[in-house]
Amino acid sequence: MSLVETLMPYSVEGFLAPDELDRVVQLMDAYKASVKATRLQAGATGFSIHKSTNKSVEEVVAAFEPAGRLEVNWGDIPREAIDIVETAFFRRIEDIRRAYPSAYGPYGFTYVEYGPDQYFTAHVDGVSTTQVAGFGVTLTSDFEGGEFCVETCGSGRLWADGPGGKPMVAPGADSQSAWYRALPRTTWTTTCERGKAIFYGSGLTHSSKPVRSGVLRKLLAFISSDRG
Amino acid sequence: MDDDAAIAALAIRYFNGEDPNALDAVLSRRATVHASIGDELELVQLEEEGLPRLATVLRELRVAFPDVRFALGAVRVDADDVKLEWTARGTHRGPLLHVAATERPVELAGRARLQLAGGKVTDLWWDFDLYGALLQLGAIGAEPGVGEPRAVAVAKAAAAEVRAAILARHTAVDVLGPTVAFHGRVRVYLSQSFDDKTFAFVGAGRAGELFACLVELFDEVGELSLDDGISQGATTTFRGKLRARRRRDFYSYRFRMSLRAGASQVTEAWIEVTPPATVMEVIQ
Repeated sequence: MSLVETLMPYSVEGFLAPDELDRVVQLMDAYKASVKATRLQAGATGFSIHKSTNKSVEEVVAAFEPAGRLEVNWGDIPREAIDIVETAFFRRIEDIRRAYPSAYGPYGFTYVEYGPDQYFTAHVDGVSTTQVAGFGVTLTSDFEGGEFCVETCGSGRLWADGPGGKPMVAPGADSQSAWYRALPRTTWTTTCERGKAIFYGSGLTHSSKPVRSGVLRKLLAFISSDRG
Repeated sequence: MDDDAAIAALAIRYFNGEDPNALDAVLSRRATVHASIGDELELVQLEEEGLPRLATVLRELRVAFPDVRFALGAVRVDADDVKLEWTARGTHRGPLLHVAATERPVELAGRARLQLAGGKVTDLWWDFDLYGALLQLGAIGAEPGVGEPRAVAVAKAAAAEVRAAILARHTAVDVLGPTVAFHGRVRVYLSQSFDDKTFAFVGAGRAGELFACLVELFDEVGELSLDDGISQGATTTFRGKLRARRRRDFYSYRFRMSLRAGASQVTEAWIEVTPPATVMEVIQ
Protein backbone atom coordinates (compact mmCIF):
# COMPACT_ATOMS: atom_id res chain seq x y z
CA MET A 1 0.00 0.00 0.00
CA SER A 2 1.32 3.42 -0.85
CA LEU A 3 0.40 6.65 0.89
CA VAL A 4 -0.84 8.03 -2.44
CA GLU A 5 -3.54 5.36 -2.58
CA THR A 6 -4.83 6.36 0.83
CA LEU A 7 -5.27 9.96 -0.34
CA MET A 8 -7.21 9.07 -3.45
CA PRO A 9 -10.89 9.93 -4.01
CA TYR A 10 -12.56 7.83 -6.68
CA SER A 11 -15.95 6.83 -8.04
CA VAL A 12 -17.46 3.85 -9.79
CA GLU A 13 -20.62 4.82 -11.60
CA GLY A 14 -23.31 2.18 -11.92
CA PHE A 15 -21.61 0.10 -9.23
CA LEU A 16 -24.93 -1.58 -8.39
CA ALA A 17 -27.63 -2.24 -11.00
CA PRO A 18 -31.24 -1.14 -10.34
CA ASP A 19 -32.45 -4.66 -9.50
CA GLU A 20 -29.54 -5.12 -7.08
CA LEU A 21 -30.31 -1.80 -5.40
CA ASP A 22 -33.97 -2.80 -5.05
CA ARG A 23 -32.99 -6.13 -3.53
CA VAL A 24 -30.55 -4.63 -1.01
CA VAL A 25 -33.18 -2.09 0.07
CA GLN A 26 -35.76 -4.87 0.37
CA LEU A 27 -33.40 -6.97 2.51
CA MET A 28 -32.54 -4.05 4.77
CA ASP A 29 -36.21 -3.10 5.15
CA ALA A 30 -36.99 -6.69 6.15
CA TYR A 31 -34.16 -6.64 8.70
CA LYS A 32 -35.27 -3.28 10.11
CA ALA A 33 -38.80 -4.59 10.52
CA SER A 34 -37.49 -7.57 12.48
CA VAL A 35 -35.74 -5.63 15.26
CA LYS A 36 -36.65 -2.89 17.71
CA ALA A 37 -36.19 0.59 16.28
CA THR A 38 -33.99 1.61 19.20
CA ARG A 39 -31.45 -1.05 18.22
CA LEU A 40 -31.00 0.67 14.88
CA GLN A 41 -29.73 3.97 16.21
CA ALA A 42 -25.98 4.52 15.83
CA GLY A 43 -24.17 3.23 18.90
CA ALA A 44 -27.22 1.33 20.26
CA THR A 45 -25.44 -2.02 20.01
CA GLY A 46 -22.42 -0.68 21.88
CA PHE A 47 -20.43 -0.43 18.70
CA SER A 48 -19.47 2.29 16.23
CA ILE A 49 -17.44 1.99 13.05
CA HIS A 50 -15.77 5.22 14.11
CA LYS A 51 -13.13 5.29 16.77
CA SER A 52 -11.63 8.12 18.76
CA THR A 53 -8.98 7.78 21.42
CA ASN A 54 -10.31 7.48 24.98
CA LYS A 55 -13.92 8.11 24.03
CA SER A 56 -16.98 5.99 24.77
CA VAL A 57 -19.24 4.80 21.97
CA GLU A 58 -21.79 7.46 22.97
CA GLU A 59 -19.15 10.17 22.79
CA VAL A 60 -17.91 8.89 19.45
CA VAL A 61 -21.43 8.90 17.99
CA ALA A 62 -21.99 12.42 19.32
CA ALA A 63 -18.76 13.53 17.70
CA PHE A 64 -19.18 11.84 14.32
CA GLU A 65 -22.96 11.86 13.86
CA PRO A 66 -24.15 14.73 16.11
CA ALA A 67 -27.74 14.56 14.84
CA GLY A 68 -27.72 10.75 14.89
CA ARG A 69 -28.12 8.24 12.10
CA LEU A 70 -29.55 4.78 11.65
CA GLU A 71 -26.78 2.18 11.55
CA VAL A 72 -26.63 -1.58 11.06
CA ASN A 73 -23.23 -3.20 11.47
CA TRP A 74 -21.81 -6.14 9.56
CA GLY A 75 -22.84 -8.87 11.97
CA ASP A 76 -26.49 -7.95 11.46
CA ILE A 77 -26.59 -7.14 7.73
CA PRO A 78 -28.27 -9.94 5.74
CA ARG A 79 -25.64 -12.11 4.09
CA GLU A 80 -27.33 -11.73 0.69
CA ALA A 81 -26.97 -7.93 0.82
CA ILE A 82 -23.25 -8.29 1.53
CA ASP A 83 -22.91 -10.84 -1.28
CA ILE A 84 -24.53 -8.45 -3.75
CA VAL A 85 -22.06 -5.68 -2.92
CA GLU A 86 -19.09 -8.07 -2.80
CA THR A 87 -20.01 -9.41 -6.23
CA ALA A 88 -20.29 -5.87 -7.59
CA PHE A 89 -16.88 -5.07 -6.10
CA PHE A 90 -15.13 -8.02 -7.72
CA ARG A 91 -16.71 -7.50 -11.14
CA ARG A 92 -15.13 -4.01 -11.00
CA ILE A 93 -11.90 -5.19 -9.37
CA GLU A 94 -9.65 -3.86 -12.14
CA ASP A 95 -11.44 -0.52 -12.16
CA ILE A 96 -10.98 -0.25 -8.39
CA ARG A 97 -7.35 -1.38 -8.37
CA ARG A 98 -6.55 1.29 -10.94
CA ALA A 99 -6.95 3.78 -8.08
CA TYR A 100 -6.05 1.45 -5.19
CA PRO A 101 -3.52 -1.05 -6.60
CA SER A 102 -3.06 -2.74 -3.25
CA ALA A 103 -6.78 -3.43 -2.72
CA TYR A 104 -7.79 -6.97 -1.76
CA GLY A 105 -11.54 -6.81 -1.21
CA PRO A 106 -14.35 -5.26 0.84
CA TYR A 107 -14.96 -5.92 4.53
CA GLY A 108 -16.62 -4.32 7.54
CA PHE A 109 -19.95 -3.60 5.88
CA THR A 110 -22.20 -1.01 7.50
CA TYR A 111 -25.68 0.10 6.48
CA VAL A 112 -26.60 3.71 7.30
CA GLU A 113 -29.56 6.03 6.88
CA TYR A 114 -29.49 9.81 7.25
CA GLY A 115 -32.79 11.61 7.76
CA PRO A 116 -33.42 15.39 7.66
CA ASP A 117 -30.63 17.40 9.33
CA GLN A 118 -28.49 14.31 9.86
CA TYR A 119 -24.90 14.19 8.60
CA PHE A 120 -21.43 13.05 9.61
CA THR A 121 -18.56 15.28 10.64
CA ALA A 122 -15.14 15.57 8.99
CA HIS A 123 -12.68 12.86 9.91
CA VAL A 124 -9.95 10.60 8.57
CA ASP A 125 -10.53 6.84 8.87
CA GLY A 126 -6.81 6.32 9.41
CA VAL A 127 -4.26 4.32 7.51
CA SER A 128 -3.90 0.95 9.16
CA THR A 129 -1.91 -2.10 8.18
CA THR A 130 -4.97 -3.70 6.64
CA GLN A 131 -7.07 -0.90 5.17
CA VAL A 132 -6.45 1.28 2.13
CA ALA A 133 -9.82 2.94 1.55
CA GLY A 134 -13.53 2.98 2.25
CA PHE A 135 -16.52 3.36 -0.01
CA GLY A 136 -20.23 4.02 0.15
CA VAL A 137 -22.93 2.98 -2.32
CA THR A 138 -26.03 5.16 -2.43
CA LEU A 139 -29.08 2.91 -2.47
CA THR A 140 -31.96 5.32 -3.04
CA SER A 141 -32.75 8.65 -4.69
CA ASP A 142 -35.71 10.01 -2.69
CA PHE A 143 -33.74 12.54 -0.67
CA GLU A 144 -32.21 15.98 -1.01
CA GLY A 145 -28.89 17.12 0.40
CA GLY A 146 -26.47 14.74 2.10
CA GLU A 147 -23.71 15.68 -0.33
CA PHE A 148 -20.48 13.77 0.20
CA CYS A 149 -17.35 15.87 0.75
CA VAL A 150 -13.66 15.12 0.75
CA GLU A 151 -11.19 17.58 2.11
CA THR A 152 -7.63 17.98 0.98
CA CYS A 153 -4.97 19.55 3.06
CA GLY A 154 -1.34 20.10 2.20
CA SER A 155 -0.26 20.70 5.76
CA GLY A 156 2.26 18.37 7.33
CA ARG A 157 0.40 18.89 10.63
CA LEU A 158 -1.99 16.15 9.51
CA TRP A 159 0.80 13.59 9.44
CA ALA A 160 3.04 12.01 12.05
CA ASP A 161 5.99 9.66 11.84
CA GLY A 162 4.66 6.13 11.84
CA PRO A 163 6.12 2.64 12.14
CA GLY A 164 9.18 2.07 9.98
CA GLY A 165 9.43 5.76 9.23
CA LYS A 166 6.26 5.68 7.15
CA PRO A 167 3.81 8.54 7.60
CA MET A 168 0.64 7.92 9.58
CA VAL A 169 -2.38 10.15 10.10
CA ALA A 170 -1.80 12.24 13.22
CA PRO A 171 -3.79 11.10 16.26
CA GLY A 172 -7.16 12.77 16.76
CA ALA A 173 -7.74 13.75 13.15
CA ASP A 174 -11.43 14.47 13.67
CA SER A 175 -13.76 17.31 14.58
CA GLN A 176 -13.20 16.75 18.32
CA SER A 177 -9.62 18.03 18.14
CA ALA A 178 -8.95 21.76 18.35
CA TRP A 179 -5.83 21.38 16.19
CA TYR A 180 -7.84 19.55 13.53
CA ARG A 181 -10.68 22.09 13.49
CA ALA A 182 -8.14 24.89 13.12
CA LEU A 183 -6.36 23.23 10.20
CA PRO A 184 -7.17 25.04 6.94
CA ARG A 185 -8.59 22.52 4.47
CA THR A 186 -10.13 22.59 0.98
CA THR A 187 -13.51 20.92 0.54
CA TRP A 188 -14.61 19.07 -2.61
CA THR A 189 -18.30 18.21 -2.77
CA THR A 190 -20.33 15.75 -4.82
CA THR A 191 -23.94 14.62 -4.81
CA CYS A 192 -24.85 11.07 -3.85
CA GLU A 193 -26.44 9.27 -6.79
CA ARG A 194 -28.34 6.02 -6.62
CA GLY A 195 -26.13 3.09 -7.63
CA LYS A 196 -22.88 5.03 -7.62
CA ALA A 197 -20.04 4.06 -5.29
CA ILE A 198 -17.90 6.84 -3.93
CA PHE A 199 -14.48 5.76 -2.72
CA TYR A 200 -12.20 7.64 -0.33
CA GLY A 201 -8.70 6.67 0.65
CA SER A 202 -8.29 5.99 4.35
CA GLY A 203 -5.94 8.95 4.74
CA LEU A 204 -8.43 11.33 3.14
CA THR A 205 -10.64 13.60 5.24
CA HIS A 206 -14.32 13.08 4.42
CA SER A 207 -17.62 14.44 5.67
CA SER A 208 -21.16 15.04 4.53
CA LYS A 209 -23.63 17.89 4.40
CA PRO A 210 -26.96 17.50 6.22
CA VAL A 211 -29.81 15.80 4.43
CA ARG A 212 -32.46 18.44 3.68
CA SER A 213 -35.41 16.12 3.06
CA GLY A 214 -36.13 12.42 2.62
CA VAL A 215 -33.79 9.65 3.73
CA LEU A 216 -30.36 8.98 2.28
CA ARG A 217 -29.58 5.24 2.47
CA LYS A 218 -26.09 3.87 1.93
CA LEU A 219 -24.11 0.69 2.31
CA LEU A 220 -20.53 1.32 3.40
CA ALA A 221 -17.46 -0.90 3.53
CA PHE A 222 -13.73 -0.68 3.93
CA ILE A 223 -11.20 -2.13 1.48
CA SER A 224 -8.62 -4.51 2.87
CA SER A 225 -5.01 -4.22 1.81
CA ASP A 226 -1.51 -4.71 3.09
CA ARG A 227 1.05 -2.29 4.38
CA GLY A 228 3.39 -3.22 1.52
CA MET B 1 -14.52 8.08 -62.85
CA ASP B 2 -13.79 11.76 -62.24
CA ASP B 3 -10.35 13.04 -61.20
CA ASP B 4 -11.18 13.32 -57.50
CA ALA B 5 -12.53 9.78 -57.25
CA ALA B 6 -9.52 8.60 -59.23
CA ILE B 7 -7.23 10.20 -56.68
CA ALA B 8 -9.15 8.46 -53.88
CA ALA B 9 -8.67 5.13 -55.63
CA LEU B 10 -4.96 5.90 -56.08
CA ALA B 11 -4.71 6.62 -52.38
CA ILE B 12 -6.14 3.22 -51.51
CA ARG B 13 -3.67 1.55 -53.92
CA TYR B 14 -0.91 3.41 -52.13
CA PHE B 15 -2.20 2.45 -48.64
CA ASN B 16 -2.28 -1.18 -49.74
CA GLY B 17 1.31 -1.00 -50.90
CA GLU B 18 0.24 -2.09 -54.38
CA ASP B 19 1.95 0.91 -55.96
CA PRO B 20 4.45 2.84 -53.81
CA ASN B 21 4.56 5.57 -56.47
CA ALA B 22 0.78 5.83 -56.92
CA LEU B 23 0.58 9.31 -55.42
CA ASP B 24 3.75 10.78 -56.88
CA ALA B 25 2.11 12.24 -59.95
CA VAL B 26 -0.75 13.89 -58.07
CA LEU B 27 1.11 15.20 -55.02
CA SER B 28 2.35 18.77 -55.10
CA ARG B 29 6.02 19.05 -54.25
CA ARG B 30 5.01 21.39 -51.44
CA ALA B 31 2.29 19.08 -50.11
CA THR B 32 1.96 18.60 -46.37
CA VAL B 33 1.15 15.18 -45.00
CA HIS B 34 -0.50 14.86 -41.59
CA ALA B 35 -0.33 11.27 -40.43
CA SER B 36 0.49 9.49 -37.24
CA ILE B 37 -0.12 6.11 -35.75
CA GLY B 38 -0.23 7.56 -32.26
CA ASP B 39 -2.20 10.41 -30.78
CA GLU B 40 0.19 13.20 -31.66
CA LEU B 41 -0.49 15.20 -34.78
CA GLU B 42 2.49 15.03 -37.04
CA LEU B 43 3.14 17.94 -39.41
CA VAL B 44 5.91 17.27 -41.86
CA GLN B 45 6.87 18.67 -45.25
CA LEU B 46 6.89 16.43 -48.29
CA GLU B 47 10.15 17.84 -49.50
CA GLU B 48 11.74 16.68 -46.32
CA GLU B 49 9.89 13.58 -45.22
CA GLY B 50 6.19 14.02 -46.02
CA LEU B 51 5.16 10.97 -48.00
CA PRO B 52 7.97 8.87 -46.57
CA ARG B 53 6.48 9.67 -43.16
CA LEU B 54 3.13 8.28 -44.26
CA ALA B 55 4.98 5.30 -45.70
CA THR B 56 6.57 4.76 -42.27
CA VAL B 57 3.19 4.88 -40.57
CA LEU B 58 1.76 2.38 -43.05
CA ARG B 59 4.82 0.18 -42.62
CA GLU B 60 4.27 0.18 -38.85
CA LEU B 61 0.68 -0.80 -39.46
CA ARG B 62 1.80 -3.66 -41.68
CA VAL B 63 4.16 -4.88 -38.97
CA ALA B 64 1.17 -5.04 -36.62
CA PHE B 65 -1.18 -6.45 -39.26
CA PRO B 66 0.92 -8.16 -41.99
CA ASP B 67 -2.15 -9.22 -43.97
CA VAL B 68 -3.88 -5.83 -43.81
CA ARG B 69 -6.08 -4.88 -46.78
CA PHE B 70 -7.59 -1.45 -47.26
CA ALA B 71 -10.95 -0.95 -48.94
CA LEU B 72 -12.42 2.34 -50.08
CA GLY B 73 -15.62 3.44 -48.39
CA ALA B 74 -17.65 6.61 -48.86
CA VAL B 75 -16.04 9.42 -50.86
CA ARG B 76 -17.27 13.00 -50.50
CA VAL B 77 -16.04 15.69 -52.84
CA ASP B 78 -16.55 19.36 -52.02
CA ALA B 79 -14.83 21.53 -54.63
CA ASP B 80 -11.11 20.82 -54.08
CA ASP B 81 -11.64 18.94 -50.85
CA VAL B 82 -11.84 15.13 -51.10
CA LYS B 83 -12.82 13.20 -48.00
CA LEU B 84 -12.72 9.45 -48.09
CA GLU B 85 -13.44 6.76 -45.59
CA TRP B 86 -11.65 3.46 -45.59
CA THR B 87 -11.74 0.21 -43.72
CA ALA B 88 -8.87 -2.18 -43.28
CA ARG B 89 -9.00 -5.76 -42.12
CA GLY B 90 -6.03 -7.66 -40.79
CA THR B 91 -4.75 -10.04 -38.16
CA HIS B 92 -2.82 -8.66 -35.20
CA ARG B 93 0.51 -10.49 -35.57
CA GLY B 94 2.97 -7.82 -34.47
CA PRO B 95 3.21 -5.00 -31.92
CA LEU B 96 0.79 -2.08 -32.26
CA LEU B 97 2.12 0.72 -30.06
CA HIS B 98 2.76 -1.20 -26.81
CA VAL B 99 0.35 -4.05 -27.48
CA ALA B 100 2.01 -7.35 -28.33
CA ALA B 101 0.54 -9.62 -31.01
CA THR B 102 -2.80 -11.13 -30.05
CA GLU B 103 -3.59 -13.04 -33.26
CA ARG B 104 -7.00 -11.39 -33.19
CA PRO B 105 -8.72 -10.34 -36.44
CA VAL B 106 -9.25 -6.59 -36.40
CA GLU B 107 -11.21 -4.18 -38.54
CA LEU B 108 -9.81 -0.68 -38.62
CA ALA B 109 -11.93 2.31 -39.58
CA GLY B 110 -10.08 5.28 -40.99
CA ARG B 111 -10.34 8.47 -42.93
CA ALA B 112 -8.23 10.43 -45.34
CA ARG B 113 -8.71 13.98 -46.54
CA LEU B 114 -7.01 15.37 -49.61
CA GLN B 115 -6.92 19.10 -50.23
CA LEU B 116 -6.28 19.90 -53.88
CA ALA B 117 -5.15 22.97 -55.78
CA GLY B 118 -4.78 22.95 -59.56
CA GLY B 119 -5.49 19.21 -59.63
CA LYS B 120 -2.66 18.45 -57.23
CA VAL B 121 -2.84 17.37 -53.60
CA THR B 122 -1.44 20.10 -51.34
CA ASP B 123 -2.48 18.59 -47.99
CA LEU B 124 -3.16 14.98 -47.05
CA TRP B 125 -4.60 13.98 -43.68
CA TRP B 126 -4.68 10.33 -42.71
CA ASP B 127 -5.88 8.76 -39.48
CA PHE B 128 -7.80 5.82 -38.10
CA ASP B 129 -9.82 4.85 -35.05
CA LEU B 130 -6.98 3.78 -32.77
CA TYR B 131 -9.33 3.50 -29.77
CA GLY B 132 -11.54 1.10 -31.72
CA ALA B 133 -8.49 -0.96 -32.69
CA LEU B 134 -7.25 -1.16 -29.09
CA LEU B 135 -10.75 -2.10 -27.98
CA GLN B 136 -10.78 -5.03 -30.42
CA LEU B 137 -7.34 -6.08 -29.18
CA GLY B 138 -8.51 -6.16 -25.57
CA ALA B 139 -6.09 -3.34 -24.72
CA ILE B 140 -8.76 -1.00 -23.33
CA GLY B 141 -10.00 -1.56 -19.75
CA ALA B 142 -12.49 -4.41 -19.51
CA GLU B 143 -16.22 -4.03 -18.99
CA PRO B 144 -17.62 -4.88 -15.54
CA GLY B 145 -17.82 -8.62 -15.00
CA VAL B 146 -16.17 -9.45 -18.33
CA GLY B 147 -13.00 -11.49 -18.08
CA GLU B 148 -10.34 -12.00 -20.71
CA PRO B 149 -11.05 -15.63 -21.70
CA ARG B 150 -7.46 -16.91 -21.62
CA ALA B 151 -6.73 -15.19 -18.29
CA VAL B 152 -9.93 -16.62 -16.82
CA ALA B 153 -8.98 -20.13 -17.95
CA VAL B 154 -5.49 -19.78 -16.43
CA ALA B 155 -6.99 -18.45 -13.18
CA LYS B 156 -9.51 -21.28 -12.91
CA ALA B 157 -6.85 -23.93 -13.43
CA ALA B 158 -4.59 -22.22 -10.88
CA ALA B 159 -7.43 -21.93 -8.35
CA ALA B 160 -8.08 -25.66 -8.61
CA GLU B 161 -4.39 -26.33 -8.04
CA VAL B 162 -4.28 -24.05 -4.98
CA ARG B 163 -7.38 -25.69 -3.53
CA ALA B 164 -5.92 -29.18 -4.02
CA ALA B 165 -2.63 -28.11 -2.42
CA ILE B 166 -4.34 -26.68 0.67
CA LEU B 167 -6.48 -29.79 1.12
CA ALA B 168 -3.38 -31.99 0.70
CA ARG B 169 -1.42 -29.83 3.17
CA HIS B 170 1.24 -28.97 0.60
CA THR B 171 3.31 -25.88 1.24
CA ALA B 172 4.32 -25.16 -2.34
CA VAL B 173 2.20 -24.62 -5.43
CA ASP B 174 3.90 -24.28 -8.79
CA VAL B 175 1.32 -21.83 -10.19
CA LEU B 176 2.12 -19.35 -7.40
CA GLY B 177 5.87 -19.75 -7.71
CA PRO B 178 8.67 -17.24 -7.16
CA THR B 179 7.76 -15.00 -10.09
CA VAL B 180 4.20 -14.33 -8.89
CA ALA B 181 3.64 -11.08 -7.00
CA PHE B 182 1.93 -12.32 -3.88
CA HIS B 183 -0.05 -10.70 -1.08
CA GLY B 184 -1.82 -12.73 1.54
CA ARG B 185 -3.29 -12.56 4.96
CA VAL B 186 -4.52 -15.18 7.38
CA ARG B 187 -6.57 -13.89 10.28
CA VAL B 188 -7.69 -16.55 12.71
CA TYR B 189 -9.71 -16.73 15.87
CA LEU B 190 -8.74 -19.70 18.04
CA SER B 191 -11.24 -20.67 20.69
CA GLN B 192 -8.80 -22.41 23.05
CA SER B 193 -6.87 -19.22 23.60
CA PHE B 194 -9.54 -16.69 22.60
CA ASP B 195 -6.78 -15.42 20.41
CA ASP B 196 -7.17 -13.25 17.33
CA LYS B 197 -4.03 -13.47 15.19
CA THR B 198 -3.12 -12.02 11.83
CA PHE B 199 -0.35 -13.30 9.61
CA ALA B 200 0.66 -11.24 6.57
CA PHE B 201 2.67 -12.44 3.59
CA VAL B 202 3.72 -9.87 1.01
CA GLY B 203 6.24 -10.39 -1.74
CA ALA B 204 6.96 -12.58 -4.74
CA GLY B 205 7.30 -16.23 -3.85
CA ARG B 206 5.71 -15.95 -0.39
CA ALA B 207 2.59 -17.97 -1.21
CA GLY B 208 4.22 -21.06 0.27
CA GLU B 209 4.51 -19.33 3.63
CA LEU B 210 0.77 -18.77 3.71
CA PHE B 211 0.13 -22.44 2.98
CA ALA B 212 2.67 -23.43 5.63
CA CYS B 213 0.85 -21.16 8.07
CA LEU B 214 -2.39 -23.05 7.43
CA VAL B 215 -0.61 -26.39 7.93
CA GLU B 216 0.79 -25.17 11.24
CA LEU B 217 -2.50 -23.74 12.45
CA PHE B 218 -4.76 -26.62 11.55
CA ASP B 219 -4.44 -30.38 11.86
CA GLU B 220 -6.74 -30.85 8.92
CA VAL B 221 -8.53 -28.80 6.28
CA GLY B 222 -11.67 -30.79 5.69
CA GLU B 223 -13.34 -28.53 3.18
CA LEU B 224 -12.43 -25.70 0.88
CA SER B 225 -15.31 -24.64 -1.31
CA LEU B 226 -14.72 -22.15 -4.12
CA ASP B 227 -17.29 -20.50 -6.37
CA ASP B 228 -16.91 -20.18 -10.16
CA GLY B 229 -15.19 -16.84 -9.81
CA ILE B 230 -16.04 -13.28 -10.78
CA SER B 231 -13.83 -11.70 -13.42
CA GLN B 232 -12.92 -8.36 -14.84
CA GLY B 233 -10.24 -8.30 -17.52
CA ALA B 234 -7.26 -10.34 -16.40
CA THR B 235 -8.39 -10.66 -12.76
CA THR B 236 -10.64 -13.38 -11.38
CA THR B 237 -11.75 -13.61 -7.76
CA PHE B 238 -12.87 -16.84 -6.15
CA ARG B 239 -14.80 -16.87 -2.89
CA GLY B 240 -15.53 -19.77 -0.63
CA LYS B 241 -15.43 -21.32 2.80
CA LEU B 242 -12.54 -23.05 4.47
CA ARG B 243 -13.48 -25.50 7.20
CA ALA B 244 -10.58 -26.75 9.28
CA ARG B 245 -9.89 -28.76 12.45
CA ARG B 246 -7.50 -27.78 15.19
CA ARG B 247 -7.29 -30.48 17.83
CA ARG B 248 -10.91 -31.32 18.59
CA ASP B 249 -12.46 -28.04 17.36
CA PHE B 250 -13.69 -27.22 13.89
CA TYR B 251 -13.42 -23.69 12.54
CA SER B 252 -15.04 -22.02 9.59
CA TYR B 253 -13.34 -19.21 7.72
CA ARG B 254 -14.04 -17.13 4.68
CA PHE B 255 -11.60 -17.74 1.85
CA ARG B 256 -11.00 -15.17 -0.88
CA MET B 257 -8.46 -15.55 -3.66
CA SER B 258 -7.91 -13.16 -6.57
CA LEU B 259 -5.64 -14.17 -9.42
CA ARG B 260 -4.40 -11.85 -12.13
CA ALA B 261 -3.21 -13.83 -15.12
CA GLY B 262 -1.65 -13.43 -18.54
CA ALA B 263 -2.27 -15.74 -21.46
CA SER B 264 -0.36 -18.61 -19.87
CA GLN B 265 0.39 -17.94 -16.19
CA VAL B 266 -0.65 -16.18 -13.01
CA THR B 267 1.24 -12.91 -12.51
CA GLU B 268 -0.25 -11.65 -9.27
CA ALA B 269 -2.26 -13.26 -6.50
CA TRP B 270 -3.83 -12.14 -3.26
CA ILE B 271 -5.43 -14.49 -0.76
CA GLU B 272 -7.38 -13.70 2.39
CA VAL B 273 -8.42 -16.19 5.05
CA THR B 274 -10.61 -14.32 7.51
CA PRO B 275 -13.30 -15.05 10.07
CA PRO B 276 -16.90 -14.81 8.92
CA ALA B 277 -18.97 -11.80 9.94
CA THR B 278 -19.98 -13.25 13.29
CA VAL B 279 -18.03 -15.21 15.90
CA MET B 280 -20.80 -17.81 15.98
CA GLU B 281 -19.99 -18.67 12.38
CA VAL B 282 -16.31 -19.18 13.22
CA ILE B 283 -16.87 -22.13 15.52
CA GLN B 284 -19.50 -24.45 14.16
